[in-house]
Amino acid sequence: MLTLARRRSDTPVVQEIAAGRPDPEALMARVVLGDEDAFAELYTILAPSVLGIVTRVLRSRAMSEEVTQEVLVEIWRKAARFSEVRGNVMTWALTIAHRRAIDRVRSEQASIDREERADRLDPRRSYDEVAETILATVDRERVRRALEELTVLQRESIVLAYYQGLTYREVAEMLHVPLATIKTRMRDGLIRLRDALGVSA
Amino acid sequence: MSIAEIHVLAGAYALDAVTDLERAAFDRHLRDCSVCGQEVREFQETAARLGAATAVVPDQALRERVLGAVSVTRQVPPRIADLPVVRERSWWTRRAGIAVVSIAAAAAALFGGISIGRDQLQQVVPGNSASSADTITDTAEGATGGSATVAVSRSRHTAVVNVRDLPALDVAHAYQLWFTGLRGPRSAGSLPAGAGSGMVSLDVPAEADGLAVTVEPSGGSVQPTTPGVLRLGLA
Repeated sequence: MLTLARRRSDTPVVQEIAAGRPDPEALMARVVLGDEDAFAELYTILAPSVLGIVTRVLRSRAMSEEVTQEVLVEIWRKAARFSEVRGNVMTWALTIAHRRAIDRVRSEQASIDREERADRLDPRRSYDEVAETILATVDRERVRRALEELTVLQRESIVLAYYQGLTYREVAEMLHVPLATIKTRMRDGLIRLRDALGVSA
Repeated sequence: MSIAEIHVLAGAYALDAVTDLERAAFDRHLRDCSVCGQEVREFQETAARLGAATAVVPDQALRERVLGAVSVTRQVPPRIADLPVVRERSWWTRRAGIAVVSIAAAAAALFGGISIGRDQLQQVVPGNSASSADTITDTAEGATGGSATVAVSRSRHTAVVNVRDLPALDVAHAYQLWFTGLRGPRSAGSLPAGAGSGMVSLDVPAEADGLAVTVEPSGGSVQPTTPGVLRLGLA
C-alpha cells in the first residue's frame, strides 16, 4: 500500500527514515512519487538478491547483469503498480526477477546444445555451487536447513525448478517420476518450507 | 485440465515451473479461487526467501548503470485509486476550496471527444486558459515564481500538468499536487524531491474542480501542511 507519511510538527519525514534502517516499503512509497534518492537506497537493499537469483538461473554473469538491470529499472518504472499488489517489496522484486530470468532461459534454450544443457540440468550443481561472492546471511543458513529437512524428491523438485529454471515436466523427465507426483511434491515441499521459514502472507 | 489438477499446480506456478499456457490458465483460475490466491502468495514469499538466500555482491558499475537508466526513465503514473483519500476538511480546504478558479464548469460536462497524453501537451497548450472541444487548459503563475499549466480531458477524466521553474527546494522537500473540491484536498502525487519543474499525468476524480501545489516533505503528506504556492482550475 502506498503510505504517505504524515508530517509531524517540523520533523522532515526523510530524517525519521534515516534514523533507522530504511524500510523497503517506506522507500517504495517515496519511489512511487519519483524520488530517485529513495530508489538508490532501495537498490542497495534489492540488488544483491536480484542479481543472486538471476545469476543462479542464468549462470552467465554478463547476461545476469543485463537482466538485473532490466528488473530494477522495471521496479522503478512500475513502482505505482506495487501499491496495488501490496505486500513485501523484496518478494515483489524477486518474483519479477525470477520470472524474467526464466523467460530468458527459455528464449535462449534453443541455442544451448544438448550437452551443455544436460550439464546445466545436473541436480548436483544446484544449491551449494558457489560461483560468486555469496553474502553469508542468517537467512541463507536458515534456507539451507529448511531445504535439508525436505524429502529428497521434494528438495530436488524445488531446487531444479527454482534455482535451475526447469518446468515441472522437465523435472519429471529428469528424475523419472510421473508428472502428477512432481506437481504434488513441489506443492508439499513449498508448504513445508513455508512453515519452516515462518512465512505468512 | 480439471479443477482438482489445477489446484495442485499452485506450487509449480509459484516456482515459475509451468509453461506460458499453463500460467495463463492458472492466472484465470486465480481470479476466482481465493484459496489458491492465498496459497500462491505464501508460496511466492517462500520462493523469494530461496531467492534472497542467493544474494551476491553486485559491481559498483551495475549500480551506476541502473541509477543512470532510472534517471532518464519515466515512471508509469499512479492510478488515483492508490492515493489516500482525505476525509476531514481542514482549515486549508475551506480556504483553498473557495480560492480555486473554475473555468467553464457548467459547459464542461457536455463536451465529448479527444483524449490527451503527455506527449501531446505541447500541442494542446497554446496559451492561457484555452479550450478545445474536450480539452480545458489553465495556466497560473506561482506565488514565488515559476508557473504551471494543466490540460484536462473531460471525457477521459485525465489531465497533464506541466510545472515549470518553481523555486528549487532542498531534497527533503518536494512540490506536492492536490485535487481540490467539495471533498477536500486529495493528493495527486509529487514532483521529484527538490525539483521545481516536471510533468505529471493524472486521473481526475469526478468531484475535483481544481489543483493546488504546496511544499511538503519529500515523502509526501496526507494533507497539505503549507499554504498553496499555485492553483489551477480543472473544470
